[in-house]
Amino acid sequence: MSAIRVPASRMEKALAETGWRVMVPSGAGRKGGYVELRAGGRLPRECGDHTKPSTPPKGLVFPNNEELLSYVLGVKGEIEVGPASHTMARTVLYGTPPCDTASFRALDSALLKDMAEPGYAGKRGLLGVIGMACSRAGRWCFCTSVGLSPRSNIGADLMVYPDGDDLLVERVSDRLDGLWKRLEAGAAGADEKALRAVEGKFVPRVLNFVFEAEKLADALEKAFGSPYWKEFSERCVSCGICTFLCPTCHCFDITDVAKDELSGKRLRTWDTCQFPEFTGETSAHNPRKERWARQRQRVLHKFLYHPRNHGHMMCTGCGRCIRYCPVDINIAEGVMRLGGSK
Amino acid sequence: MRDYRSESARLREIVSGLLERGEVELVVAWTEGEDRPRTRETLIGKGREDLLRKVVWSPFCTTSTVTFLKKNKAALAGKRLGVVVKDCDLQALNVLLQEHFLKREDLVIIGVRCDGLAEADLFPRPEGAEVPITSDGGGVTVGKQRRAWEDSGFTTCLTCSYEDMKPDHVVGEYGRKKGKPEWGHLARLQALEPGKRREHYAALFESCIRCYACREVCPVCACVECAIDPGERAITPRTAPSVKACAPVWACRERSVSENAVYLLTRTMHMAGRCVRCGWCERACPVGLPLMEILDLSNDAVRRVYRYEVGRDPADPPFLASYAETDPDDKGAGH
Amino acid sequence: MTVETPTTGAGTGFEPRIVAFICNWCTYAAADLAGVSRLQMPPNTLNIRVMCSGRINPMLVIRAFSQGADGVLVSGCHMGDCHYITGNYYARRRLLTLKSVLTGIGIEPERFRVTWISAAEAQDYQRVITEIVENVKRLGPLTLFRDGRVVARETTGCAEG
Repeated sequence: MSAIRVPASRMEKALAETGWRVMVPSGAGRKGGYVELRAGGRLPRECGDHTKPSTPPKGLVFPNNEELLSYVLGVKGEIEVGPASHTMARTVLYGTPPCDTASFRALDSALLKDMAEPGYAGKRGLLGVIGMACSRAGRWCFCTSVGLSPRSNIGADLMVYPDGDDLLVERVSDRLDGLWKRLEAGAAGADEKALRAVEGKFVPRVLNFVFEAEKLADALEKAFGSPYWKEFSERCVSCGICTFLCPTCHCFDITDVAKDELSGKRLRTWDTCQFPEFTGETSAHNPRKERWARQRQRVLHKFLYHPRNHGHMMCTGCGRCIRYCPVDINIAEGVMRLGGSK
Repeated sequence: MRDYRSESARLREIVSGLLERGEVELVVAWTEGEDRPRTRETLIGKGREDLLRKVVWSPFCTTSTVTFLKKNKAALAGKRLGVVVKDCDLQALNVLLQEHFLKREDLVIIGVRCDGLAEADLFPRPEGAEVPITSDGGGVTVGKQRRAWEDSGFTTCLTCSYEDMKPDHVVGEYGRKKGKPEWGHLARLQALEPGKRREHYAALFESCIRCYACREVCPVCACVECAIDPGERAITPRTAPSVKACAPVWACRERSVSENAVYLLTRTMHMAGRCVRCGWCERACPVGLPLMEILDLSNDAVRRVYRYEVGRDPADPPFLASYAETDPDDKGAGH
Repeated sequence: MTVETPTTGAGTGFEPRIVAFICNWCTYAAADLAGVSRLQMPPNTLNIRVMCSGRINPMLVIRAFSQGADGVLVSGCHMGDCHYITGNYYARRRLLTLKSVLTGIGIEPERFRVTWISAAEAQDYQRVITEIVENVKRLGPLTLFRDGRVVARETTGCAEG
């Protein structure tokens, strides 16, 4: 059986029994993040653009400030390297909308596939994702244009479809089997038909930005030299909002920080292709000195390079970069203009 | 009652007149975006009827055209420009003129009389080609949706006192009494014990993700190279220590209370006598930090202790590049 | 720049670390005079000689605090006596604005002092240093930058270079 019907209270109880840390959308207005559910707290019963926090869940497994190693120089000149902590408390993310859920596929493809990055892999192994079907699209949402939908379960370990006081729970991977077994015991099974019936409630609304995914990569490749890039980014201020708030952006910078002459640490922090010094070379040459070149890189990485290499876009259509951009730069508008338009 | 459709039409007349007569090569103005009622700054040249048609002035012109000038300084150098400004933008423009960042003779300034701004995202996306946007003393109306000024997301506009600045062309008339700078939020914080205040500000510093949006959107944060950034210098084995010493790392990339504090405090000091309290940094902050709480610490000193009026006149000396013999001294513990 | 805990000091209690930026033409000479005159004062200060108080960038003060200083002193020439005519006037406006900001975020005013001490005023120098050390001792360590005392590798490289 891959789907069951349980009362929402049962999910709360089962999660509490596991003793895992449960992170839920803060839902505290316009700006916030995923926060820890306090003991006895109520799990969110619905999800949508109105509950989507401004900061994505990536920070849990890909923190903005991560210690990669520490070192101490001994009196005789020996160097002791401290082990990096690639761990965190066992955590379940609950109630992520499909755009945030799918972000883990994108992050995994970059940081786990081929060559696993230990800092990410360590924490990712301790994270379970319970996605939830999204019942309200926002003004900036465009998940249906990037191969997702308000009910897609990509990236989820369990997928939850709210149905009145009940939840239809679908098992997507075996990662949360411990929890699944607790839920499954004595629960009513849900067959494919019941699942599809509830799923049908989470249909895509008419979205403001729609583009054709299939031909996009080719169109963008041809548009590499387009003069539109300059117009697209003439008002860009080169801040890091679009990338720091992006659920899939994962560029980082590594800095050695000396505590004193004898000890220090190596840190990893978020970096963004929008900062001028991102591509700065030691020789002081900078191949992406201009803002339009940096914006082009952001768009093409998401819609051309990553799909070519990994078979899916590195954008989940969550709309955060559009919503929080201080100067109204709209990635969907740009993509539509450059050849993806329906 | 102000009707922004007719004021926008008047603005379009002025802009197209300037371009037609060849008084300016390019104009920086707000145009309607894809996501109305949001607006965006746009560079308009002669013959760009498509853009000219979209030129707009409304309380949703929340971005700063001066930031646009700052960001495109190199590309626009030596060109004669028209620039549409709100009162706070003009204030910021004056700061940049005082510092010789821009040349007054290169600019034709078109001032719009601003009664306050409103967050576009709080209003539903309007349908139809023409959307009536009006305002009065009490609030803003878009179609059928009305919000009070206090409820429109722009707290700094409520205490904005700038008016009757002298641009070259004027569009619109004030429809609302201007406020007074108000420091109530500071007074509440300053009433706390120093230890509690430190906790409050440490929490603020800790949440910063260092996206630098506050710095980048700021119309007067105009340094070509920010002291906080590593800088673009080639470092080779032969680079002299004296050259390296010119580019110290003031704040490293660590996201911690102390490093974030160095960034935010430095910015506050660099904004002393330059901050026009437009509040854009605070609104742009993606994690919702109350940045005015820290900027106002220097704003308060500049305006109340030193009686310095920021950006009133391009001929005024910049605050930190001037002094008075009567400036107060350190009173030791009792400052 | 790291600020070392003084190894000498009275008793076992908290020994504050004070960074003093002092002007070459006045306060530095006053400190010198205080030394040769054998005036007693606490050894908790790290004196940094600069050519003028006008050279003090607010970032130097902010950085000193973030690196673990419990107090900072900037001391220059009396108004009108600046070796460079007006350097201290600019410094006064800049540093006292900084003081408002630092006081605002909860750094007690006793921790950041701006004084004017001439080359002849060794006793004033002794008094100011004694006062600031005593005051900061009473206030305890500065807790705002609790994760402080961090130096970027590049900075150290510059200092060594």
